[in-house]
Amino acid sequence: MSLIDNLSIGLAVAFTPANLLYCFIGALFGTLVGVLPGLGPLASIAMLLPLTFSLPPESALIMLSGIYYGAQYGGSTTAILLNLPGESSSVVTAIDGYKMAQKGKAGQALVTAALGSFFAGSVATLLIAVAAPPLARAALNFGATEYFALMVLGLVAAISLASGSVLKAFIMATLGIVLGLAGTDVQTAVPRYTFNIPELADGINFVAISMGVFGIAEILRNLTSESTEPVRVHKVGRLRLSVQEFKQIIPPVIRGTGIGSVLGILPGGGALLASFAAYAVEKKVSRHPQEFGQGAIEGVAGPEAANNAGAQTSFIPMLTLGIPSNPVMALMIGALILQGIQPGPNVVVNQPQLFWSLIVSMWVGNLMLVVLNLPLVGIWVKMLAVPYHALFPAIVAFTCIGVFSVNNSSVDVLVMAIFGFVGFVLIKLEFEPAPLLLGFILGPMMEENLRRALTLSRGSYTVFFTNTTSIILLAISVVMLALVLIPAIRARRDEALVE
Amino acid sequence: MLPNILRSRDVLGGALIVFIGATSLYLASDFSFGTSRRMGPGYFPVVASSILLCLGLLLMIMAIWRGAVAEGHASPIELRNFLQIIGATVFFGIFVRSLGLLPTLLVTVFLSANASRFNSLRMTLLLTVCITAFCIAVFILALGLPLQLFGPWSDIRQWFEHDAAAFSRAWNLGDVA
Repeated sequence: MSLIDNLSIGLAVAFTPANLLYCFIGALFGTLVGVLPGLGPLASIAMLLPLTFSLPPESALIMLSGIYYGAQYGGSTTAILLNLPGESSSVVTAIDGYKMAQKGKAGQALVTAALGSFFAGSVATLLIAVAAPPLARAALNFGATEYFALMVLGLVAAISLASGSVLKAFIMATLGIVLGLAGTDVQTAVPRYTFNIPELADGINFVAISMGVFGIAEILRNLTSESTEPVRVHKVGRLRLSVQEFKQIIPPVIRGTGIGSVLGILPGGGALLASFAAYAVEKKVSRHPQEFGQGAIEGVAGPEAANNAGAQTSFIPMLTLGIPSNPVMALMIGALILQGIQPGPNVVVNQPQLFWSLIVSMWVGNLMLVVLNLPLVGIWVKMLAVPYHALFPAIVAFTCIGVFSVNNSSVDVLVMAIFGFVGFVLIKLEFEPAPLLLGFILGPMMEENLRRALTLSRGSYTVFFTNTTSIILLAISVVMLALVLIPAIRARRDEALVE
Repeated sequence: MLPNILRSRDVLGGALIVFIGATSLYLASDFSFGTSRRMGPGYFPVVASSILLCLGLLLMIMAIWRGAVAEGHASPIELRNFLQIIGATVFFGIFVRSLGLLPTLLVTVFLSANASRFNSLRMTLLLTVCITAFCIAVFILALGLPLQLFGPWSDIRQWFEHDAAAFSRAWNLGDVA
C-alpha cells in the first residue's frame, strides 16, 4: 500500500470528532504541564494513563502523545518569559530566549519557538511515516537473537547518553532489570521475588514504579528547592517576525530539525539531548558567536526545532521495534500493553489504523499547538501565577487516585510510596533514575529473548556472534560504550551535557 | 560523627547497591538455575544480580580510590517534607478502600499540603477542601471511576466490631494484612 493510502486510513480515524477532541485535550494538557515548572510530561502521562483504559487504543495513544509534544511547546514559554525551564528540554531555550525577553523581544522569541517547533514537528512526523513501515518490516524478520542484541544496544545507548556518571547509569539500568524480574516467571510459572504478596504475581506495577520514582520523588526534590520569590514575567510584546528575522531563523530551524530527528531515534536521546546539541552547533556555525547568550534568535530557533523533532522521532523505535528510547516512550509501551497490544513491529503491520491515525494526529496536534501557544499565550502566563505549593498537593492526590485505579489495588499505591522513597534516596545519592525505568521495561523482554535464543542454539552463546544482524548491533554497542569510556571523548561529552 | 569514608555519596550508594544485589542473589538461589540450553527461573536473576553486585562494588572501590569526601546530607526540612508526602500516599493506599475516597482524600491532601513551609494553616485547609472537591468532580462525576465516596469503615459501628475476619476484610489487603 502506498503512503497516500495509509495516510487516508489515518485521516479517517484521526479526524473523527472524538479523536480530534482527545488530540486537543492532550495538546492542551501538554502545554499546561510544559508551562508549569516542576510538572513534567512523564508524571502527567502517568497520571492520565489510568483514565485512558476505557478509551480505544488509538484515542489513548493520540492523547498521551499529545501531552509529550505539547510539553515541548509549553516549556519554551516559561523558559523565554521567566528564565525557568518549564520542562527539562527547554533549558537551552532559556539562555537566549530570556535575554531576548529582557530586551523587549519576548514576542519574537515566542514566535520563533512556535514556528521552529511546528516546522520540526511536521518534518519529523513525515519522517516517521516514511521510515517506520520499512523498519517494521525489517524487524518482523528478527528472531530472538537479533532482538536480544537490539535490546543490549538500547540499554547501552541509554547508559552512554545519560547525564552524569556512566557507571551509575549502568547500575541504574541493571537495578531496573532486577526489579523487572519480580513476578511469575513466564516459562516455568515459578513466582520470583513476590514475597507471597498476590498482587505482585504479575510483577511490580509499571505505573506505580514510575509514579514513585518520577512523580513523588520529583515533588520531594522541588519542595526542597522551593522559594517564595514573586514571579516576574516579561511583557510579551508583538507576536510577529520581520522579514529579516524570518530569514535569519530558517537555517537554524532546518539544522535543528535534522539534529533532533537523528538524536530522537537513538535510545537515551530524545528531546533533551537534541536541544543541547543543536545549541552547540548553532554557536559553532554562527558568524557572530559572541551574540549567543546575549539574545541571539538562532539560539532559540535551533534548539526549539531540535527538541520537538527529537520528541517526535523518539516514537520510531517505540512503534517499530517495541523498544523505548526514553522513559516517556517506556510509559507509552506500558499504555499499549495495558490496552492489550503487544508493542513491536506487528503494531505497524496489524494495526494500521492505530499507527497511521497516530501519525496524522501528531501533525494535527502540532497545528493546534501553534494556535494554543501564540494567540493564547496570555492565558498560560496567568497560569504561572499559581505557586508550586498550591499545586503539588493536587499532584499527590491525582497520582494516588491514578495509581490506585489502574488495578483497584492498595498494594500499588504502597509500591508507589516505597519507590517514592527509593527515588528520593537515588536523587540524594546522585543516581539518574531514567535508565532504571528503561531497564525495568527491557529486562523481562531481554530474559525472554535470551532464553529463546539459547534454546534454539542449544545453549551456545556463540549464536550472538554468528548472526550478522546481531554482530552489527553488538559491535555498535561496544563502540558506543568504548567511546564514552575513553577519557578524551568523555570530557567532551560531559562538556556538551553540562553546557 | 561518621568517618568521611562513610559519608561519601558514592561509597554509600555503592554499599546500597551491593546490599540490593546480594539480597536478590540470595533470593534467586532458591530458584533452579538450569542450564544455558534450558534456562531455569533462577538463571537470569542470578546473572543480573551478580552484575549488579559487581557494579556496586566497583562504584565503592572507585570512590575510595579517588579519596572519599563527605558530601551533602538531607536537611531536617527535607526529612519533614519527605515523611509527610510519603505518609500521605501510604495513608491513601491503606485507607482508600475502607474509609472511601472522600475522607481519605481530605487527609491525604491535608498531609501533603502541610509539607510545604509556604502553606499557612488557612491555606492548607483551603487547598484541602478545594482539591478534594476538584478530584471528586473530575474522577467521580465527570469520568465515573468506580470508587466509593464512603467505604465500609465510615460506618462507625464497625469500629467496635472486634471480629478479626471483618477487620481484615475491611482492610482488603489480602495476605498482607
